[in-house]
Amino acid sequence: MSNAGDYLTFSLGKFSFGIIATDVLELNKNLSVTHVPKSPETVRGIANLRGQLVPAIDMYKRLGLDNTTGQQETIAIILKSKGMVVALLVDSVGEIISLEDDTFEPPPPNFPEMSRELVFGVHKLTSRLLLMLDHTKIIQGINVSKKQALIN
Amino acid sequence: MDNTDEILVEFIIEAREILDQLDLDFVLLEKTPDDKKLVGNIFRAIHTLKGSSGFFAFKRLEKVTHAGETLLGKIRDGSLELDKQKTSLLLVTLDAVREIIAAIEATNAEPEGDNTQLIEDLLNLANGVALAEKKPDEAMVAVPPPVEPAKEAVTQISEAASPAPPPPEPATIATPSPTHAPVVAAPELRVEVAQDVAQPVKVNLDLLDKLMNLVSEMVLARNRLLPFATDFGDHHFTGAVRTIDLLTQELQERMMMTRMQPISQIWSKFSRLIRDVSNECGKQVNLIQEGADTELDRTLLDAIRDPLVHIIRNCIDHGIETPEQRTQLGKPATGQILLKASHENGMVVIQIADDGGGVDFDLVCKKAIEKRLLTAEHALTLTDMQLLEYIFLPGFSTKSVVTNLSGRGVGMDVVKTNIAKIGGSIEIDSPRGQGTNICLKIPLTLAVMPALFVRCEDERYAIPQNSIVEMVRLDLAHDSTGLEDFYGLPVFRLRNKLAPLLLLNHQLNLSQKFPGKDAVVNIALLQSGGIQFGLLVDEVLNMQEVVVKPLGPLFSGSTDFAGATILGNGSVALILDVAGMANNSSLVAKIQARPLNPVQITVEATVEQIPMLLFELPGLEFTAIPLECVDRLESFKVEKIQKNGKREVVQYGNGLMHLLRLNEYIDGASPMPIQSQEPLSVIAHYVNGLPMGLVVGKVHDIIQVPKIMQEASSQQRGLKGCVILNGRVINVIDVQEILRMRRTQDSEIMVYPDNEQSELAVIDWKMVQ
Repeated sequence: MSNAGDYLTFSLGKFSFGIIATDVLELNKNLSVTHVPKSPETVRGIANLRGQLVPAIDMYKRLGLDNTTGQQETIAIILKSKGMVVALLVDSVGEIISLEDDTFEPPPPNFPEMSRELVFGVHKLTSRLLLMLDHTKIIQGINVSKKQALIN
Repeated sequence: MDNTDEILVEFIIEAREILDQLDLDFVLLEKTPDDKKLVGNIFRAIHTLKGSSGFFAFKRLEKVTHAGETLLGKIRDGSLELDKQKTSLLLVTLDAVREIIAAIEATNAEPEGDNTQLIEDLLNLANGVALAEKKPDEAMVAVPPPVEPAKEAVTQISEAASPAPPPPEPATIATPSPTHAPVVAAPELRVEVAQDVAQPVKVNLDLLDKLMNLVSEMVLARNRLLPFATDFGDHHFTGAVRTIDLLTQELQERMMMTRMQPISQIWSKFSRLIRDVSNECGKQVNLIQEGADTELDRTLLDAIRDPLVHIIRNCIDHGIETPEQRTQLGKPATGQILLKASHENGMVVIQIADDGGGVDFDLVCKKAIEKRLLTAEHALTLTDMQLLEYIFLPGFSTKSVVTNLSGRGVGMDVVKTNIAKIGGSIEIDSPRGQGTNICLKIPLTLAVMPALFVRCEDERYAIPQNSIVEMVRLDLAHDSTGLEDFYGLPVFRLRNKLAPLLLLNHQLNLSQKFPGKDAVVNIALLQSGGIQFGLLVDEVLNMQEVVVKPLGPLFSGSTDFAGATILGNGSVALILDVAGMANNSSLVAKIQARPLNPVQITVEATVEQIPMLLFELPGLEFTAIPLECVDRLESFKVEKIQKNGKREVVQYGNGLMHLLRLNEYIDGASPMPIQSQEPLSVIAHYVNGLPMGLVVGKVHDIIQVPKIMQEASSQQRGLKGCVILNGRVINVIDVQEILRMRRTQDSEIMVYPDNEQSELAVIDWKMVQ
């Protein structure tokens, strides 16, 4: 997979992430999420996107991060991943940037395992590090974590 | 091969339609071998298939269809006559074609192998050579199917099928596409095609579903728009909103209609099924279809197909006796199966009746004891009706030998669960020796259903109305027993019966709260798969029609929810899966292990009772109405009552409900206090689909009263009679008479004409029985 292309940047707490922009359908600020009891922990609930029900993913939990901001996420990134529309709940969304291969580096070996599954690399930007997310893994991983929950 | 997938898919769909139609045509043809037009139809259909397979270079398919066409050509010319053997062989040909098509669909390529034997047989027959007796399908030919009595069935089918355009038929006629060789057809057929004006169009199902989705969304968006129109007060704006309102409504109605399909779509396959199964069992069966043009939702049609097939197989295999047995019993040698569909109270009722031997109760009883489902002593106390319940238990089969037709024990319980899944119910009536009558009641559509909203903690949940039996408000401080513990299962008492209880907050892991000793709790009594249980909720909200949407794969592990719905304000509410919850919470297992009300059952069996609703009227403290006449209980504020001529009406749903003050029609009741500001209690009773509100004083409870009641001694106006219960005299009102009195008045003041007298009488007759 080439690591160059257009990426949408977003932030969760002090971290910046990039996700490939071509699969992002829209950004939605006022997504009201209904909690679904007994669903996987990483799924916050279900939301109404103009008549379509989309699962809303708690990205803090999904990435194994602690939400230290003490505030609710403000915006949802709606994207299509493997034919399924999902909403990723994040703190804020930045610009769309074009990235080249020369700033890319694979994830460092001391990266926490939960994030390693989703983060396929890092782009070293002048001002910050951008963690690159593989959005196809976001949903796959949820099915896995559900199975684990069943075993426990 | 450079066939694009799309053309191939179209070919497969077309081939399927042709094959389905051919099945039907062949069975018809067997009954009326002289029907040249029909032979022509079949010939052309096979020819179309041959042409398409040639186009796709499916050699094997082409050879088979070619051989079939040769034989059919001879029959069409009149140089050969159609007989049993030829029909059977042609049906075998159809099956072979079907197999090849299925393989093509699965792999996009023709399967290996050939049909040399079949082709040879076909050509031999075409050349007038009779076949040797080695054919494997000879068994099917051995029993002569009923030719004579079946004529009736044939006309029934064609009559029933003709008013509603069955989609496969026009498709078969209209299929010659540019790629096909010119169709050879008799001239008079051409004319018929030309007359076929409204051609159906094939539309992708996904597209229809998406459109449906969008329309439901538009309805919601319209709902949000409506309040603005009244607030703004701008005429142009209000006018525009009105137009949108009307258009949306019409759009929604039309959209709903696209989902509706005549039931004949699945019934059309049954002629062939019955022919095959009855031949296999050596029985003679005649199928009568009524109401084949009854329409219901496409998804529901799919869901009831298998249960219906199963029931029909059962009818033939278990129910209908062999011709010899039947002759001995003095029945006509040919058995009858009646399939009847109709609309009733917003439900579709499908009746499957046979005139066979009915359910063998002694055998059911014996098997139930063998399987240790009941004890021999207990069995003696059971009525036939109660024995019938055992048929629905998983793994229960009265067949000792497993055949490929039945006996595996995965029968009626699967039928019942499948029907329950779509919100339907099943009833069996089987008087000994007189055949079986199975009645399926299924909702018209799955897309929209009425649901009750409840609150638990901070969220709203919807409970499908068809699983709600009643709502109970229990004051634990004043209820002598309150909530009790029955071997680890919370239970409560409802009219002296124990009912198990589920706490919604526990069930959904929302909290561990348990109601205190003096709390007032709301319980929804739910019914699922033969088990009644109470669901404790925090608050009962409103009743609303909901559009059911699936939750999607991320929540597929959830057994508590049947889906979700989008509310008018755009938020999402989850719909509870009643059966799933019952199973999920070990409730079912616990109840099956320890029946809650074992004694109750036998007591009920001895005295037949009917449920009635007890209420008060001014002057008559204890009055009751049969529960069957009660469709809903409502309460209206006095201000809501408006006048329509002399009549009082209230707005009810999208329409009006006429009010009928019961005390004006019943002897012994005194007038209502006029100035009272208390809300009116109203029993909604539907007459011919229109709500009639019976105004009563105060509603008490549901009671069980003995079926036999004392007649009203000297004719008491509006009263059927009275019963004595716990030392109290309870007056049972005569709904039929009251409505008749009302109609007489109405025809005097010409509000609406009196035209449905006979139908009403029938309804009432049922109610008081």
